[in-house]
Amino acid sequence: MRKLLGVALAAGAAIALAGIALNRGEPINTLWILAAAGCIYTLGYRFYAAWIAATVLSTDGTRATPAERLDNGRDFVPTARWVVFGHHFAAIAGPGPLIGPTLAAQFGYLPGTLWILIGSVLGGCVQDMVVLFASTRRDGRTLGQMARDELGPVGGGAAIVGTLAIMVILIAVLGLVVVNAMKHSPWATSTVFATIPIAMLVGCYMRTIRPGRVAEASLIGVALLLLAVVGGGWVDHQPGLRALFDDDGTTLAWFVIGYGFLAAILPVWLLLAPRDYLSTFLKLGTVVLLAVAILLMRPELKMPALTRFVDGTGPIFAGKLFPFVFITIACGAISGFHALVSSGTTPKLIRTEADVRLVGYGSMLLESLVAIMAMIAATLLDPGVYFAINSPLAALGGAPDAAVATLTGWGFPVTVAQMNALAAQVGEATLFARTGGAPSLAVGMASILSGVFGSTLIAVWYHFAIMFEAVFILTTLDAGTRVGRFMLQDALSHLWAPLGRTSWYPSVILSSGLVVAAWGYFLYVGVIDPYGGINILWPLFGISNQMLAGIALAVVTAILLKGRSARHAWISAVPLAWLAIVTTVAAWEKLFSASPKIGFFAGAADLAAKLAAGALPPDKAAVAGKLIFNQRLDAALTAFFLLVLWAVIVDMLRIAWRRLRGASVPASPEAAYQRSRLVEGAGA
Amino acid sequence: MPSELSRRLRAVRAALGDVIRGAAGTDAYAHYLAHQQRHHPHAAPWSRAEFFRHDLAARWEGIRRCC
Repeated sequence: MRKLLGVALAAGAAIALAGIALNRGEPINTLWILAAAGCIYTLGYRFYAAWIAATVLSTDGTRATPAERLDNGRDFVPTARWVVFGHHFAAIAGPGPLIGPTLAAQFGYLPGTLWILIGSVLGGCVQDMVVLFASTRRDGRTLGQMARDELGPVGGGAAIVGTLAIMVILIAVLGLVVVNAMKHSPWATSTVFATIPIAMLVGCYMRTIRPGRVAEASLIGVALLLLAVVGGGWVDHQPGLRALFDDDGTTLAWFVIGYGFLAAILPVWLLLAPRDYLSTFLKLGTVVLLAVAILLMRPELKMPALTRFVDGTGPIFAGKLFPFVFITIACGAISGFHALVSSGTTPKLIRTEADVRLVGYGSMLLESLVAIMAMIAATLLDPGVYFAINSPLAALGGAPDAAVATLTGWGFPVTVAQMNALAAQVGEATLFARTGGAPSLAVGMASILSGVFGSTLIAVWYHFAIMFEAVFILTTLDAGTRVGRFMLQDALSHLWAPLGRTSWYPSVILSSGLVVAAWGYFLYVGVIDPYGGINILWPLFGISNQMLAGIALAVVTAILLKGRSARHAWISAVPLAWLAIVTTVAAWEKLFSASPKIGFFAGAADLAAKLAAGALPPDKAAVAGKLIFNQRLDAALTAFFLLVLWAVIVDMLRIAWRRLRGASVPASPEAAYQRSRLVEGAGA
Repeated sequence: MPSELSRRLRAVRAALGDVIRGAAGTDAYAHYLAHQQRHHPHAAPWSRAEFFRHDLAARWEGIRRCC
């Protein structure tokens, strides 16, 4: 029966993929993509994940998990499987898988879609599941602790430094996405600003008015958020108010920086926790809404399967299909960040090891589906419109007139009138060069949602999508700054013990200020960059995220090699090898490519030469010094990421070599077996 | 069979409810009460408001949200 199902699914996936492949040159219906995804996910879950759980990990339903053994009613709590699934999915699902596929669509829909499907089933899901399993066997240890235990001090230190660095880059790029979505858009800006007092109100409600009534307060908050979307439209039509929220990028960047600092030092209950409740409800609601709408609408993809930009000349970001599609998709296929959650709160909730497959592998499948939906939302737009929204004007020849001429010349016809009509329809002044992926995703989502639920509301749907993304992103920004602050305080406590006290205000302000300054710097430079900053920051983020995934997979491989199933260690070693190749090649190109659009050093040198020759217009000459310094700093960071990744890989290979020769290796400290009393039939 | 179908539908609905509760973490107080009942039946548990105050800060010390 299982075999029959497997054959049927494989045939289904093959037919769907063949449908996509054979229909080259004419529009593809999204149903083919969804059918292929459904079949591949089911195959991965029912067969590969089941085999890994049973044969490689030997998950044991009778073994008591840390949640049972260390149950304290707070963080260690044996929890029903679907509850843990919800918890874990909410924790791993961020804005990354929405933005990455949107940007990667510049190569066409096919490469990104294939990597989202293959990368998740064979890489990302495996990483999440095995890290979750390893941490569950080790009393919920973190990735950093496991790296130190399994590899040694080098691996452990690399994991911790790598985590802090990725946090800074992540927050900067997300902040830039929000700023670009709000730039000169009074509707979006006022709506996003309104989310702050709404979150505070919800926080006060939960704290004092009806203490602890989380669901009730969240529902009120979501209703207020929807009201804020409509209210933003009203603000947009009031000349006085409109001017108040019509800001340029630099002003908005300072707002985001100030907000991030406040959010990090204010008490959790006032801003961070209520915002997170709101964003979780919005996230689940929007994902379901979008899935239903795509199924009902079944739009056709207008983007070609492959575009001419596979040769590396893309206007959104430069670089060839290999390796940059993998670096750009990042979170939707393999996200190193997930390893931090899989070794953080989730393993302390797992009730039985039998749930590891659903929670670890299953949640990542759903995340991958979100990435597929983002890819659909990007590729159902007219390609000309998609490129006009997402490319910096500087990459298309300057003014809108030149930009549409360039795009039309490339074979993606679009007119200024068409763009203006679309902008008027969604209630924006312009949609040209709204880089960062959020506006383009919002246009795609608005066209899907308004197509199904009422086309008169397209402007409201657009700003709903912007608000949804902004709430999402600001939650990550708050939570990330806070975690960065704790990590920094922990590190600083080695210099002077009082700095480690998490509730001592001087230390709180110092460490929060340092973390905010670090990401604020990258955000600010991204905003003043005439190329929009995304083209530099997103690849940097992708490289750092894949580096973290490489660290996680190296730790997992070391664990597997030491265990009884050493010959199956390829399940993590193969994705690790692929990531090492992709990340190394990408980092190498970012460092040493002779093209100033790709290579950081080449870019800095090119700008310096133009500045010296006086070839830059005065506004660009004014910021050129900062941009040159920034490119060199980015180069140093890239080199650092590469170094960290290879330090961990070499450390892992050293362990593998010692194990092969029968020499001693650091013991793999699993908690001792204890029989579970929770699982039916195990108590006897 | 309609009864079988309705049973399945109920199960799906329960699972969906679980997913939402888990995602938002709205079930934390119920878990705490159950734990107290099981392990410390003689101590008076915190009220909902007290639990909320104590629980919240601790929840945000680690990495809870991703990219």
